Amino acid sequence: MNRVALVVAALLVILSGCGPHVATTVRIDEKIPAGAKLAVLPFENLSGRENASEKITDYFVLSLQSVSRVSVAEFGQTYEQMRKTRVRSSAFLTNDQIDSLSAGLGAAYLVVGSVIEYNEIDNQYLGKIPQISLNIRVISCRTKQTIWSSAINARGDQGEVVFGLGAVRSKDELAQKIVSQAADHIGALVAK
Amino acid sequence: MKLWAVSSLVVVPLWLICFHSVAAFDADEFQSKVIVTAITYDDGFGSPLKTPGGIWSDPESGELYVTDAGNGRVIIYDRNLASKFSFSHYVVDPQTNLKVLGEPKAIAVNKAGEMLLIDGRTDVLDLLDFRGRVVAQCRPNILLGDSALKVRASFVTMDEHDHFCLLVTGDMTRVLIIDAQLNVVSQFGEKGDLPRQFDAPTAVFVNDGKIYVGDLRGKPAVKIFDTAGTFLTGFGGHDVDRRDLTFPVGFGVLDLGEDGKYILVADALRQVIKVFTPEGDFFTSIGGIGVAPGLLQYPSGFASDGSTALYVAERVGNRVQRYEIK
Repeated sequence: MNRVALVVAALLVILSGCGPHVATTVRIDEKIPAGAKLAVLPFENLSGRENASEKITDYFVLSLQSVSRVSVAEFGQTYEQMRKTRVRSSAFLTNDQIDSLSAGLGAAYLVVGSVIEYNEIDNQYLGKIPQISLNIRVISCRTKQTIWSSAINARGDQGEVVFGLGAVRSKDELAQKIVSQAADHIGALVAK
Repeated sequence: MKLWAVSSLVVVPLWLICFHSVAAFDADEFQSKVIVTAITYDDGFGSPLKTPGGIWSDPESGELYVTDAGNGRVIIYDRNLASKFSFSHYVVDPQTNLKVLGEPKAIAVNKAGEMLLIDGRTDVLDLLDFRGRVVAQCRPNILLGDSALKVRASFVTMDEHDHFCLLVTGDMTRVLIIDAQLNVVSQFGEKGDLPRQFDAPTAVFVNDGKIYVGDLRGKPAVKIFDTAGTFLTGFGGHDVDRRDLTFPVGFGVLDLGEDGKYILVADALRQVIKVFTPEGDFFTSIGGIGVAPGLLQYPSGFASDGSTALYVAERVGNRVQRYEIK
């Protein structure tokens, strides 16, 4: 019995450390001041999958709201400000557009990105597994510079330990996991 | 003799002043002031236009919306024809029930940036937000209150109350005014041969409290109504007179201040933009068939910014030109 418990405990420890992860991160030395406001712009959908970017954007807004010491603009307000200033794409933001969004939302930082892949691939043993690729940037509205960026490539079988344990089977679940991890990375930028 | 000399010193200058005022802006002078200031053949990223059709100049944002039917997309340019954004438009094919790339045909944009889009592959009208996402849909037959009607919207513009002004043809011919919630505000028109009736309406335009409707076969070729739908007057036939038109595809207005206000009509088959006074008197024309800047190859869409700029999309030329009156 003790041996079984030990094996189970060991498996749990291994599983807790596994899972899809942020594959690449580029960091520029700038801390987000405590109390700063972030605005998440709608992610660009380059995946060809309907609603992929809407889901990722939604997950980011939710995940960042749990980051302490910063606030996040309500997405409805962000969208309305984009409408007023006719900012349609976050991929090609001009300095004037950053200024108008920042002024309208009171945001000091913009979170933008693209969904590159949001599909399922075949795994020999697990069958269909999700595959998600994202690019994410955090832009300082004051300097107009990207202070943090990341390219994420995640598959549902990356966390598999054995016999499918630890594998993520659904796209939405995988998306939530990687967005949560990315939000943690962004949260780590906030000055203590 | 002295009296004659003295009076001529007064009369001649007075005559010259009056004549000069009347002829302050003649057709030749107008022609000399028309220049092409921008041309685009693609979406700004190297993807060429393919049978561009409808065109809309948004006075709120200064942007130009072009329906690129052959590529199933809408492209948004700035006033200098630099591309700002584009999106593909998908429709449900009525034959297969599958989602397919559409053929956007006509577009108009309200003050909130919402677009009403007519697509050649479906009778469904899409109301899109400023990023091209569908927020609402409607069918013209439902708007007319009879789901059995086989009708389609063929043209859309905005009226002066920020309502969409639709031209509907088929079993019924109507001008429909609808609000942003896609409710019918008013409607008028009927098929027939009388001047106040439509035979084959092709374009509609609202300016200064008047609704202009171009008609391919009906006479007059341009019919003018008030906003209640009462026929006021019209101009142009389908013959060889300078006032005549063959296939009016779009209207515009030029307000040149002291130099006058003009109503312009693009004719797809005569390959010209005809310039009229608001009373319908022919003034001059711009264009002519050809590939050089300033010439036209089957204009399919036409818009003005209300002051000095005109935009023409060419179905065969696969380009959009901007003319300015300098």
